[in-house]
Amino acid sequence: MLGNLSISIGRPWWLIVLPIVLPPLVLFSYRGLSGLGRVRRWLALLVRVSVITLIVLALARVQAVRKNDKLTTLFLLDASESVPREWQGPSFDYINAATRKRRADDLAGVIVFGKTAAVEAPPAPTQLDLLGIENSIETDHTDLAKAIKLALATFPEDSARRIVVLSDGNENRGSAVEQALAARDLDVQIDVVPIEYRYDREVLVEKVSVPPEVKEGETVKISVVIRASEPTRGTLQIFQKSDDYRAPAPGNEKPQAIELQRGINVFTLNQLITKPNFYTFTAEFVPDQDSGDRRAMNNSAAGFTQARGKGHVLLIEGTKGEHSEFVRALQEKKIQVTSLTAPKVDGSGDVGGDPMPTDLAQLQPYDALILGNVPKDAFTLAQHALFETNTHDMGAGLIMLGGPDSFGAGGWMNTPVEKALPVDMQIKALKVQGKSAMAMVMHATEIPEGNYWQKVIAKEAINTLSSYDYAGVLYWNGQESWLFTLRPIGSSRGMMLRAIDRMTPSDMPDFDPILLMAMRGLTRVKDAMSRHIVLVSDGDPAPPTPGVIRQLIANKITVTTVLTAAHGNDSNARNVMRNLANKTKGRFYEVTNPRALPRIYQKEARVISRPLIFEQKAAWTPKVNYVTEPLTGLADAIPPINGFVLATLKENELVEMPMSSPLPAGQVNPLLAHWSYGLGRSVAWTSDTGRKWTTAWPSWESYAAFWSQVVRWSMKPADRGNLALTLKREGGQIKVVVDALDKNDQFLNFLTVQGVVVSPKLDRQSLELKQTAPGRYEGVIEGAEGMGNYFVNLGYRGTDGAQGIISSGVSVPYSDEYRELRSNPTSLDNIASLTGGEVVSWKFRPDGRPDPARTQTGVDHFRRDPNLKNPRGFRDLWPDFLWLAAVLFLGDVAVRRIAPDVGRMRRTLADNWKKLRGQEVAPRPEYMEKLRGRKAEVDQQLERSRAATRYEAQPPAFLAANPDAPLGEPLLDTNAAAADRPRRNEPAKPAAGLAPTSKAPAPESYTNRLLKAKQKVWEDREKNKENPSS
Amino acid sequence: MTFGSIGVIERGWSRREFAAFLACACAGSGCDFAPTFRPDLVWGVHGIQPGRLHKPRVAAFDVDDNLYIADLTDRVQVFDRDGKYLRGWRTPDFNVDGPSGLTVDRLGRVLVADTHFYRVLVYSRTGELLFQIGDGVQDTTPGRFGYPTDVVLDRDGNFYVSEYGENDRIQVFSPEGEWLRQWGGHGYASGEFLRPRALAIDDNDQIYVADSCNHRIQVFDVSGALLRTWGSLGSGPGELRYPYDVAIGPDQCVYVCEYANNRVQKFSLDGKSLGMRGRAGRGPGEFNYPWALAIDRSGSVSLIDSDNHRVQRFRM
Repeated sequence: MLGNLSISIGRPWWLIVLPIVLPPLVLFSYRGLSGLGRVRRWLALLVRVSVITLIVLALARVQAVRKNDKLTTLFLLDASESVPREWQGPSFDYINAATRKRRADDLAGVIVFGKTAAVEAPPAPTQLDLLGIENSIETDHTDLAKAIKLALATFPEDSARRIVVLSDGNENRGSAVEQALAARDLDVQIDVVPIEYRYDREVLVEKVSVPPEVKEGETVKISVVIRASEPTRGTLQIFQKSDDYRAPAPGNEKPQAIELQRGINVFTLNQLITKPNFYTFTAEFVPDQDSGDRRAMNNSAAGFTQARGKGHVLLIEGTKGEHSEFVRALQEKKIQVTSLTAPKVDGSGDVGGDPMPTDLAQLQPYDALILGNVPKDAFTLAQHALFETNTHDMGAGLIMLGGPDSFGAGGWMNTPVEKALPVDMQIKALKVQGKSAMAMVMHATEIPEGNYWQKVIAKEAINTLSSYDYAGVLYWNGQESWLFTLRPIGSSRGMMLRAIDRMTPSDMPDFDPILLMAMRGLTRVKDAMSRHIVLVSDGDPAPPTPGVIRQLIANKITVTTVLTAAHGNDSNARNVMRNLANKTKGRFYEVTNPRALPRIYQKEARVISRPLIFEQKAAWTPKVNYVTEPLTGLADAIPPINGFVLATLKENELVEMPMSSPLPAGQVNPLLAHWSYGLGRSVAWTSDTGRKWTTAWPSWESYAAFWSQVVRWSMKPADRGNLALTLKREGGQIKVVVDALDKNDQFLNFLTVQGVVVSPKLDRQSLELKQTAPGRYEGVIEGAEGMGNYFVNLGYRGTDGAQGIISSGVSVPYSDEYRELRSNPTSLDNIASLTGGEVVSWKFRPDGRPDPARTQTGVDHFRRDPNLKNPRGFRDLWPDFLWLAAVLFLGDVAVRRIAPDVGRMRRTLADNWKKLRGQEVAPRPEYMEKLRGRKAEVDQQLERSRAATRYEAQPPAFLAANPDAPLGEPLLDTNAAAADRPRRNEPAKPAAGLAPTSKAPAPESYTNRLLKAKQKVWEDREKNKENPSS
Repeated sequence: MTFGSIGVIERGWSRREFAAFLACACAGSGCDFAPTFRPDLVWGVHGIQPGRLHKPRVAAFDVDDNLYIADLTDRVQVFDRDGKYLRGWRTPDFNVDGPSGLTVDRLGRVLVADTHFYRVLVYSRTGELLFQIGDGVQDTTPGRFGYPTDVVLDRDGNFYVSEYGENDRIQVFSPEGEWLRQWGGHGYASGEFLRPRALAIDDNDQIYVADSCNHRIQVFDVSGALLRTWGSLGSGPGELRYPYDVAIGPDQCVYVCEYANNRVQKFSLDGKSLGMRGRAGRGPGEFNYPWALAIDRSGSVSLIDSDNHRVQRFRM
């Protein structure tokens, strides 16, 4: 072992080969190498043995093992809401001071955590000097397990590892103990520094209890549950909210002074409900000055109830009053209609219009939602999802009315709303005319989360364009580049969206090159009817030169510019962007709210996309295919229409299409289609409701009947039966209980009760209740941790075919973090003891504040203790061994083939030494003589071999006596044959050389001997021919 | 029948053909020949707390080799040569883009081109605001600025301020901040600029302008007469791709930070390329859209590796 280095052998049994192979090798080689001389013989032997040994070691998988003495300590700092803010400073001071004790090579890092965890300072060999938290993490829960997991993933491979947890130990997500066990298995120690606190006089408003449904004119009892640690005083007030209007509840206009006892206190208020609506009641407790209540977040809670009327629908229209005939018709048939006008989108967000519903609670009072000729970009992505959820999970109806801004013409393709409707917006069968090409230039890097927004807007545009349109995206990454070149969206949509996910544009210095690149791409698309560039930028790059703008105009390319006002009120940037848009006849948007960006892109894509509208001056009569519920009992003569939005009927057996348009011929053109979607129903009417395309309709005698039947068919069904739904939330779970009785108060058994729960983030979780007692059904919803309203919607079906929907909800007023009244050091101690770590107790100053410096005394989070396992690094040595063996093998050859003349080398060295000292070197005449002799010898050898390769056969024995006789084929008649054979050359005379010519006859070469033998054979054959008898 | 390719093999490739083939193959496969090098020091942690850097974009050394860095958060922070945080201050107004020009003049003042507030701020070394040039109103008239990008001082103490926007030009102000003259214009022609990002001035009062979107360096005398120009779009030696900063070292060589080539190129004062360092990446010796460089007394280059939020020091 060399310091931290040692050796391990992977397959030791290979070493057995050595004693088996080496002795015979030494024995045979020793004999075989006897001609080499003593030194070379031993050297050759040594090299051979080494080669074999190295190969065997390589096969035995010898590895070098390096033990690493480095230690990495990661500090995990709890930044969740339960930890009092005043603890954050001392915690950082503690970490900073702790890192001063590290050894030079040790690494220190910090992870902050709440519900999420993030690396605040990656492990580095530096002393930390942190002042506060830079990461934005979600702090409304504590997930220590996630933080430990992140730490385990963050540790470098080549060091010992320790985690130090600074937390209050109150975890409400994940299991830290499980992760601690995982850490132990990975030899990671966990030290803990429990942050301790205790709220002795805290008051919590636990919940506001209201019945989930009330009837119009009924008095509702509101119960407020308050928990107090100590007896205290304060005031309580209840607020009522409906239709986005919040005011003190009638009868509770002023805060009421209350006195709280230790433990649970309940206060009630009776409230008369006069109007059908969705009501939220919020109770707010304000403690007296001396009450000692420290946290305000847990002093209010809310509950909600719904008062249902006879039939109430919400109409959202694109233009105010556009559907007045339709609204009148519904009101005539006793359906209450609330009309809202959608806002128009602008760079600052929404312009004009009414506030739109943003959560499910706001949609609850309505039995159906009607979207009347309103484009997709009037709503946010969250609202699209909300509308779909409202139908699928809450059972409300969804109706889309046609018009130039609805269905595909309103950009609704690829949205959740399209999913909920019985028609698709893309047209599959129509012969396509008027494609558009849209190149998007992305340069919004400098706004906050710029790269995120660029991805969102590019995706929105691609999802809004029709599949026949061309789309391409350009960005700058060191030079202007296409993310993907212009191509029909069609089947490439997925590829495009994936490419956009990978896009990372950089800060572009100038506009000219990228505009030229976009222009060249657009002009190459020959079948595009309109060519459009949408450029998003902070306007900061070098402005486009007039020449480039002229080229764009000449090529009829419109440029819409979207200015992301990254630099405040920057008139130059605004001028550059507006100028470019105006000159090329595009539109200019100045975005002050990035949330408006996606809708601007949807609008741009919608405006340039191929219109999906079919209209004619001459009206035609729609075709009634068959009569379904909405069409029953209507007058026969259906009025004509002269326009509608093209759509494709969904291929689903639930879809009904009672009315269609015969034009355009050769394809199915849905006019009225409906189906059941989830718990609700939806309707698509692709023409309008009495304006441009259906002028004759409002005067139709069945107009009101038709629309009231369509709307009533889609509406949320009224609750049936006598079922009570109770929800109880505890510890991150919602317990759902249904008590089912029939009209005679007898238990209803064997019901199938199932449905969904919708979280505040609109995530759905399906739920199936199990019968636990006569007439009682129960289920549990896990993970109900986020703040906000949870809606539970259940459908039930009895064995007798009775069915219905029941719904309720529960409100989570504040995070569980605010329910913690004291720290939980025991859970942390547990983790430390599991992993062999230490528990450090805080020391305090006389004034009660924590003292990080004193707490550090005697504590070292970079200590080396026996529980700490240093990692070992393994390196395979076989490549080195094989390489060395190859080199030694060559050495083996060299030792055998090269014989160094030691005497001459020694003499040369001596001569050189003499020369260096200025002495005369004695001449060595014998050297030249030797050289001459050697040369002559070599010449002779050469000559001999040359002669041999000429195939000059020695004359046979019978010719040897007569050297003048011609040489020839001795096997033939020698005399006759010799006459017509060319004479062989005379043997060349030996060249004059320095050496005396040798008189001795040259020994017969191998070739000569071979030829002689051959001649003898032929001679014998001839003889046999002549004398076959012999 | 002999196939063409077999013919080639039979004939054997000349060295030149082989080299050409290798070059084509590498070019086709996107082979990056830029050599890596080991910088002497890499420092800087991403963040917005004091001592951390959030996309630093401009830097300069003072006579004591303290490094002044301005980043995207409108802060000027002072570090020692090895990156130890000494002090810092904020520019008066804040938006999401910070100053993009900073010079420490020979009087020890810190000149900050407050780009998006259309003015030049003159600070003491400790961050005390002494005065400002330009009234903070964006305009193309003399004395006002579009987006000022850099400022240098000549031997007489006159200020030369480069700017871009609608009027890419260089304006000259007296030591008292009084407007004297201007030259340039928005365009491609010689003497015009497209986003002149940085200035440097040599001992002979020759002004070197990094004309970034024209991918060249233009050299002027103090009156605005064009003396010489070099560089064209490309990534070979002597070529430039968005030169964003220019500085003159104690060895009387011009160092150019190339934003889009992710490298530093060294030139003689007459524009002969003397070498290059760096390539795109996140490792040591690799840069991620660097905006600026500063040269200390020893001639080492501290490169502001902007999108890696750090500084790399090396010699060329």
